[in-house]
Amino acid sequence: MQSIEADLQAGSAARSSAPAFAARPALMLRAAGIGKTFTLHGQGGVQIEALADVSLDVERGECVVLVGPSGAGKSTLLRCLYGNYLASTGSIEIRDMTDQGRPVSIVGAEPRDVLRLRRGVVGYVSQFLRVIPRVPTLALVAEPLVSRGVAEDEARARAARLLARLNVPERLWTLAPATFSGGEQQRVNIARGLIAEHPLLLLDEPTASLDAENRDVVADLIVEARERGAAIVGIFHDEETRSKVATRRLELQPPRRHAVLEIA
Amino acid sequence: MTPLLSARALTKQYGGRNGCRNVSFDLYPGEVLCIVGESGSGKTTLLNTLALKTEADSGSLHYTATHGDTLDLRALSEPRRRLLMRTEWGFVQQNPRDGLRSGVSAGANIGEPLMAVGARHYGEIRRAATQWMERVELDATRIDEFPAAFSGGMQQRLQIARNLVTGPRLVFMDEPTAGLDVSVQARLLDLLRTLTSTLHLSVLIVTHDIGVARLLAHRLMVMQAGEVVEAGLTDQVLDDPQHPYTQTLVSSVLPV
Amino acid sequence: MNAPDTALSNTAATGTSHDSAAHGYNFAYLDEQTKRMLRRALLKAVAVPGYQVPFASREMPLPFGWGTGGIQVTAAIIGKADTLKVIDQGSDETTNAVNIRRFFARTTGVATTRRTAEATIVQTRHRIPETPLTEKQILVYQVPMPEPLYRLEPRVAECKKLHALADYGLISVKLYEDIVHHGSIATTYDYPVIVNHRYLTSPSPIPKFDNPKMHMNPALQLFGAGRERRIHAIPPYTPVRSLDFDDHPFEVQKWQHACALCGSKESFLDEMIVDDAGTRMFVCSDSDYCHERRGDGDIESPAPLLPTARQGESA
Repeated sequence: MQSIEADLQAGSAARSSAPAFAARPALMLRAAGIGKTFTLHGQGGVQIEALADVSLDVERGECVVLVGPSGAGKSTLLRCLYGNYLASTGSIEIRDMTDQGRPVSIVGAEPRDVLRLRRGVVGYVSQFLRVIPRVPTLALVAEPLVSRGVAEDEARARAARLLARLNVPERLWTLAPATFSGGEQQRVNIARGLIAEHPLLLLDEPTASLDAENRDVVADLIVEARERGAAIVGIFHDEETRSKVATRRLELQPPRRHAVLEIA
Repeated sequence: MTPLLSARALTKQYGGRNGCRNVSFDLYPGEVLCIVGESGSGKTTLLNTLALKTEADSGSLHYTATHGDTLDLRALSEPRRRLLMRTEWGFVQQNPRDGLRSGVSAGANIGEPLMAVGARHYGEIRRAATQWMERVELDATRIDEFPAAFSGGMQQRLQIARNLVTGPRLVFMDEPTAGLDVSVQARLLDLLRTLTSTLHLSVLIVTHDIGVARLLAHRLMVMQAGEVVEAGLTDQVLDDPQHPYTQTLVSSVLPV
Repeated sequence: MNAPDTALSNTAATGTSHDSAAHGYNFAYLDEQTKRMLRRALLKAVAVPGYQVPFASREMPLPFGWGTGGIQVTAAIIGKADTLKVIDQGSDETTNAVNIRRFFARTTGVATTRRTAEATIVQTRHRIPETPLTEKQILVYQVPMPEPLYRLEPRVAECKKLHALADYGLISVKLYEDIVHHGSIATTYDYPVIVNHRYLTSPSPIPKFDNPKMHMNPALQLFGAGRERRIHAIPPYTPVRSLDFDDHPFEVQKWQHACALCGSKESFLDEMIVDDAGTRMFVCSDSDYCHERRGDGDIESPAPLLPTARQGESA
């Protein structure tokens, strides 16, 4: 569905990105003309268009909230930005804070570059906690710091503070989260996602399974991150959190669904 | 950054069929790369070709040694190759009995690579063996027992210790957890995960188990009928598979 | 090639002649071409100390396992002017020593002796004479299994590679295991050595007590293994080091006793049971050395001791 012209446009948008990053020092993320189509080979090659021509610039201190009906592609967009999904078209560039602020393209990037960005620049809180089984909670939350070179003791101390703030009881810290309630798991997830204080945060429904009190805690944490200068793109299912954290909203609409063989 | 291991158009076939064809990739220090595929996909042939256990038919293979020189692995003499395998590489076999000496004690098994590179102090060799047994979570008081006295999972840990004791930079693993009980597998995978990250090892793992790949690997290469059909970041290949075969593979995993 | 050398058998130049029972055999039993083949192998062995040189081992008039390797080496080097001494576990009087000495006497007419100092060639099974050797002497060892890695690496091809690459970690593993299971390196004979800083060699089943004698020995040491078809050599004044660990250094056996006959405290002693009550006696294993110390001169055989005076046979 993306024409060659659109591809060229996306390409030229990418080419014009570098000056944009240079001209706007607060720019952290520039996504232009993102499209995502899934091809299900196992089902006769049916194609599902999840995103069409989405563009987004995010600067430090901004929190862009994605809004739109279910199926609009909000999660898909976040995953594309994180490199978890391959964008079918368009360009995604992120300022690499660990390398003199150069913009790095996620689209077409080498795995090790994406991993480097994920370690030092982009954080992601997924909707569902998918963690390594059998690792105790405290170690899980401390791990992003340890992998960035923070001493183990300090990492654990910071993890403990964050878990406490999120009201995860201390008796759970030595246990693996597999047996926790949905809300507890989600809070562990959030702690793990926020602890390293990444300059760019992608949050996918971080408050979905939380009660009102914990939603507030999370909202506060997000606001603090934002005020610290993080650039945030998030999906929140409740309006109260949205209004607390958002500086801007971006509305997505579900694209039409196509079949491969369109019978006229 | 220079890659640690570089393969270009690597091909090894048996009578013009099977094996692996036209494989190219770069492996960087500290990366864990999983080669995934079903039996007959050519993944074990590829691993053996990369580890120089089998000779490739064509293609190039380069390795950056500790002193910074790039070695053309296919042109390496046998003595150099054996020295490389002894000092900078490790190879963990699927069946631990293939990678251990059954006639000598656990401590001798772990200490042998040290003795092979000139260690001459009995007490220090024993100390190193003890330390490594602890690191792989084996009871170090069992250092004088023979491998047959250990269970399968423990033998595999022993083999891992034997391979890591010389501090290699690149470790090849051929289905390291196949054939083990699920719970034993799980503990072993945890151990491998910890070791690969703390020791900053580069690891090439062959497995048919996607769960292993997801847990351990930064990168994934999917093989089918001898060719690499898809490669990339592990979570990307598994969450957003592009190739038909990869999609089949991912959707075939039984949910727990 | 096996035709009898009639010219030789008719000459009485040295005053000795072959035993009539050996009439029709070439000098030293082997034909000249075989001796040349053996000498070529010996030269190679001397040129690469400690390296096992394959040779075409011949059928000898005694089976494999009875010293045919040593006999072939001696046959290749012995000349009319030589004086031969043959010992078996230090004794000149065992069945094997007597038979081998007689074999050479018959087929060469060469002078034989029991005195180490008088011999130019000493063929030995499993001991080195206590009397120090000189540059004019050659020591020929009988070797059952020349490959020191035999039990550790059963694959012959792999063994060859290990030697070629000096990849000797395996033997250290064996010594490590000894210490683990016995508290110290338990090998007491056929103790592996490194010859000339390069090749790992089996010194033949001599007691480790004798290993130091191999180091920088003025005599030429030749090793023949008939069944395994290998020859190796240690040229004079070659460094020979017994393997050990830094914290478990190589040590020789020591006795609390002295020889009951000559009083020596330095030689290798055999323990002998002298009567049915189990009385023990310690006696020098090297019979010539013991004689010399006692000043017994050139006695043919020692005073008939006792029927159970047998040193143990080893492989």
